Amino acid sequence: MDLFTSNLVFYVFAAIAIVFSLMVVFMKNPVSSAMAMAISFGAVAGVMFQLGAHFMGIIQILVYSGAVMVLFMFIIMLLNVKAEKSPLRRPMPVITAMVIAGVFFGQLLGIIYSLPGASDECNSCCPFSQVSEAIVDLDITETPTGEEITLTEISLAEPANSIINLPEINPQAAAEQYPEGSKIREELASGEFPDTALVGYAVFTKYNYVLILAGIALLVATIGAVVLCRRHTAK
Amino acid sequence: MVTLTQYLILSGILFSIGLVGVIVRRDIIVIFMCLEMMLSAANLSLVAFSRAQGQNGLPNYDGQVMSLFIITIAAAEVAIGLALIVALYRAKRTINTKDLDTLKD
Repeated sequence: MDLFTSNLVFYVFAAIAIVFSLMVVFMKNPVSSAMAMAISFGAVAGVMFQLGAHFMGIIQILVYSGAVMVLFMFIIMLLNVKAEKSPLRRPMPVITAMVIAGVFFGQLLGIIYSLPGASDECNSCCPFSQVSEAIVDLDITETPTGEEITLTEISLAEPANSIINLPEINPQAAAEQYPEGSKIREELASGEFPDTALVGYAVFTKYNYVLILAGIALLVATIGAVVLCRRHTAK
Repeated sequence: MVTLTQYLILSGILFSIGLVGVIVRRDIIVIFMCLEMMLSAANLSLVAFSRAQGQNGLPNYDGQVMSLFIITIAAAEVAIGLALIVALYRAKRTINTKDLDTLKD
């Protein structure tokens, strides 16, 4: 099995990400927090590599562990931030935060396990299969606009498609979707997986205008940062 | 085989840790770091969905493009946020959220 896509990689990087994220929250010194943060982002990038999203993993490392962390370090050293008391010394806020985050995480788990195919018990209560049951149970025969409903046409009785198992990446099967004679198509047909080119294809065709907007947002942010940091000379 | 559920749970755990950090810490820079951690957790779940919704042997690239734009906006947000923190420090000589209570009065 390919090392990059093995389960072990996921579990190792997931453990590193969780441990170093906890260190970010509970370290006294902001500099060590920032260092732990960089490693945590790197581990998230590792999980992305394991998912087959190589370009996003590289961007995660370059932008987050690279640029953003360096900015944070600059500001920490520029402002001469002192180490604060360990958050564990003040148990009340920690307990409150744990409860709030725990409730949030519980709700999130509820949503995750109601995804189609996530668990056998929830297949009966998941919204996809409920529609047909509701139609049968409530004996609905027509839509609000007056059209007849026939269950054979809807055929929602069959179980919803499971989206839990990740489909295998198979570049050769996808080659036909891309224009004839293009380099992406050639590479896909030869069995390579040109992830960056595929992201670029999506960005520069379907999301062209959004890309321009993102560029404008970055420009505005740069100008804003300069304006905010300017010293006011009273005149 | 690692399933989509596990990726989403990992992303949820990272997001919750970020939430704890935002509530617990008093240092505005560390609060900001925890916000970045929450954004990155959201990115992870988008990438996982992009893989899970894939068709014809390729991931669905809509999810990855969305997370690319999230990273772009996050970078812009970091620049603005840190500029605000520097301006705040100049005005107040502190970055502890305990001391920033002018609007309370």
